[in-house]
Amino acid sequence: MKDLLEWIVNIGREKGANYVEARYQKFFSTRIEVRDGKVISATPGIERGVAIRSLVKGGWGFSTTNDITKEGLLKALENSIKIARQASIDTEPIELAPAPIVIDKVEVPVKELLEEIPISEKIKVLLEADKAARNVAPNIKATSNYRDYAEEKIICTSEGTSIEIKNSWIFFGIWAYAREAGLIQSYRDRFAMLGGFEIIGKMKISERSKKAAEKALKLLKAKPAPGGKFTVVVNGVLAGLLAHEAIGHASEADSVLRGISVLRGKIGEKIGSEHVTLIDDATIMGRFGSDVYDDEGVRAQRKVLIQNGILKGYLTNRETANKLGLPLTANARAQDYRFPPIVRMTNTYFQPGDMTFEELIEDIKYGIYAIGGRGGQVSSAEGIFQFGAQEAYLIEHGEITKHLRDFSMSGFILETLKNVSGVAKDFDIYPSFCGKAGQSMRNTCGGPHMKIEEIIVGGRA
Amino acid sequence: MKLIEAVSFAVKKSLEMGANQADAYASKSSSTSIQATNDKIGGIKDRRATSEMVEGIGIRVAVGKSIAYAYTTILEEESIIKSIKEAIELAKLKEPDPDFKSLPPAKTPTSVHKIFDKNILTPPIDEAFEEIRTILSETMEKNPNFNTIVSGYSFTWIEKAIANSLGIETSFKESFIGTTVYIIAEKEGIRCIGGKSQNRRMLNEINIKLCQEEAIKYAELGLKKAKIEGGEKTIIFQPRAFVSLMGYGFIRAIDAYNVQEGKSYLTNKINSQIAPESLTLIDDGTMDGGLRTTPVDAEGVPSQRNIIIEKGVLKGYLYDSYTAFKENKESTGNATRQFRSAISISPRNQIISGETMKLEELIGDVKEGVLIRGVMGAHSTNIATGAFSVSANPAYAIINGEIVGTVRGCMVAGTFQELLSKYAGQGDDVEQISFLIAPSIKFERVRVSI
Repeated sequence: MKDLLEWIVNIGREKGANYVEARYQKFFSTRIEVRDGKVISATPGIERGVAIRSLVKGGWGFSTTNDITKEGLLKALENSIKIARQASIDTEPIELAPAPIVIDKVEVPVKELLEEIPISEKIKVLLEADKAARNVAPNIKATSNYRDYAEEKIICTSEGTSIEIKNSWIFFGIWAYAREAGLIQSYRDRFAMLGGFEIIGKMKISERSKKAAEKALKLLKAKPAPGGKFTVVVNGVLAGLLAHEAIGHASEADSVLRGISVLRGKIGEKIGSEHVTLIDDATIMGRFGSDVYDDEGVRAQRKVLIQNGILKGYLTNRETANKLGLPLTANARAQDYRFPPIVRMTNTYFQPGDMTFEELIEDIKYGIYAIGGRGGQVSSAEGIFQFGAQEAYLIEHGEITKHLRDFSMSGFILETLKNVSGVAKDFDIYPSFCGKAGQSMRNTCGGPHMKIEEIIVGGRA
Repeated sequence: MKLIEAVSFAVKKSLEMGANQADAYASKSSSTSIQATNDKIGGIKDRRATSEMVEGIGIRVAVGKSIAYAYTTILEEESIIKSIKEAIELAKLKEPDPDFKSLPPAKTPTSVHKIFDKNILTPPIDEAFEEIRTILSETMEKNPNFNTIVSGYSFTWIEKAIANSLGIETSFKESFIGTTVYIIAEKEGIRCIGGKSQNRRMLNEINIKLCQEEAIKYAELGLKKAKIEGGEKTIIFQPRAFVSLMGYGFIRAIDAYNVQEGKSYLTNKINSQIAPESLTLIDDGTMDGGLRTTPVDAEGVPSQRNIIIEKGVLKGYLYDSYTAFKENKESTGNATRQFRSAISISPRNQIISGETMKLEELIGDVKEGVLIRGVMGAHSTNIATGAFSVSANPAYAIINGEIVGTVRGCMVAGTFQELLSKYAGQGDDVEQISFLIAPSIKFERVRVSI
């Protein structure tokens, strides 16, 4: 396959492209869903395809195909060159920041190959999780999900880079629902890592499922959250959501260049309180957002985006690093062969501080402690975010009191960063699939407990 | 292999290899999208185009009362057979499902119109880029506070083939054309977005100029700051805000899977009054040019027109064949599927009807309220209770019947059923967005935090 890719990128050069990148991918994947003891779906699948991206006269063209014969690739190449030419008319030519030429072979260490584990084994794991959750109480229902993915990827560029990658991961998620007299409350947990089937043991799936069910049960007794402006303490997972959704996306250089990020033109400025240090690190072994190389074939890195409140940089790919004159951070990632690489986060988190949780809440007279993420949304251009939490507690005179449900909060990114008034020394992370431009990308986000002043809470009470 | 050959081969082989029923769904899609940006500092830049051609087949087998799926993107006999083998092995592993009765029987597909425009088989990229260029430069001239303007087009055609062992064998083509214009404006520290997208089946129904006008209107409005206090307010949802709230807060609640499992707040609510008499909601898979119109659904069941709410009374849920047969009913033709995934339920064109008034009058009657053009966080709606808490953005203050400016940091919370009961009329600005065909809708006394 590698020879075929090298052949096609060279043909691309002969046909007048300044740069051609061919990315082959073959992947095996499994998705299983179990609901209340029943296997709802279990879908194994195999896909393969090639993506070809060409830069012609400073315009990008991208084309993708399942047909991996010579003819198929040639057709995709011609299509990509054709649309690159159309894209290049009347526009500022795109140039790429220089990147080292790499010839390498990398593999995520795997002991038990996912393809070789019978699907019955994988189903068994979920059935156990499901049982652990439903054993908590008769009024618990549960939905659990298993996904695995084993890929072979080859990236060849017309500059001579040629990288063969083998990657493998497992994702597990559970939703537990507790019901009582017309009220249903839910709680979810998830875990994901890079590796083979051997990592199942590390995932403590039954323990997580049981805990989720207990939490859902407890939420039945919780009261709806109040609405208004509050001092809010978020836990590590929710802090991670803030790191990812509210600031991470705004620090993606493509959004900055398009003028749709509130962080545009702010490098070197103080945009947050001194408690705020934000990192994006793709090099942490086994973590769900990690990679050795990005999809432009550039070696992955650890980047400090905000240091004690000061914006240090953006996440870049070769195009945006060149345009902005900033370091290349290797954040070009594509969901799979169907998509072009775009600027994405990897593992994004706030650095912990030195306070204890008790110190964080001791001087709060009336506030809210919010735990866990229930999805979020952000408008980077306007700098507005919205997050749901799994559960919350009232904080009264430095004490955790009433249990609250249906909590969601909203705020302005820049004000919120300045309003971070304390950071604990603990740390938690959370895996997720982040959506951008129609692509879903594996990543993690995390942080410590953080105290934020003046958050708008959309409660009903 | 052609799609129709692939599905019929897959069904035949599945039976030979031990399935007692089987179906196959194959699709081939080609999508081209282009986009460009006009930046106050950099000028027109960032023109880019992507093109995608993906095909694949998903196979469902029933062995006894046990169902399993597998898929592949390699439409060759060998890989299809491999997938069937996997699916059959998997079905044998699974516990039989007593609720599974049968795949759907063959019936004549519904005759539908205007769902495929052959003009986009070769997408008019040059013309589209040219149009975008004009829009981008014209729009930048309109207001010195406009910083960035983004515009794009997308052209997609899809061919689908469906076959099952009860005699269904059908294929059809559909097309989607989309365009968008959005503006980021900034003045005295306020940043806002005004934007508008349009999606249609036919190229000649796309009107980028209309998107441009609306984007300008709301970008300018967004720069005016308005103040309004929190409390119980009149709310007008524009369709693009309502579609998201309705998708998470209502559509999931009428999904027969959620209903049958008792997860939906609308379980056991058939024939109950859930909205004022003036509100009717139809799920229509047959209307001309509808984005969700097709001759058959993903299982090959003919598309139909289903009444969901009639004069405020809940009349039905959305079914596929599995959930329908479980209740000894007929499928409503709401099965959806991609070749990679199992069957699930999704709405067709959901048409909200009722007495309408001019949009200006709908707004004109409001003493103090909020016009909401987008919501964030609708996905966290609790389907069991219907509880939602969303951030309204963009949102505009209405005072004494006039939109006076933008409201920031506005959150709306409640339950979807409460919201429905507060329905108080609709405008005449009907739009087609995803599954929704509706105008602006007004609700009274809705709780708002600002």
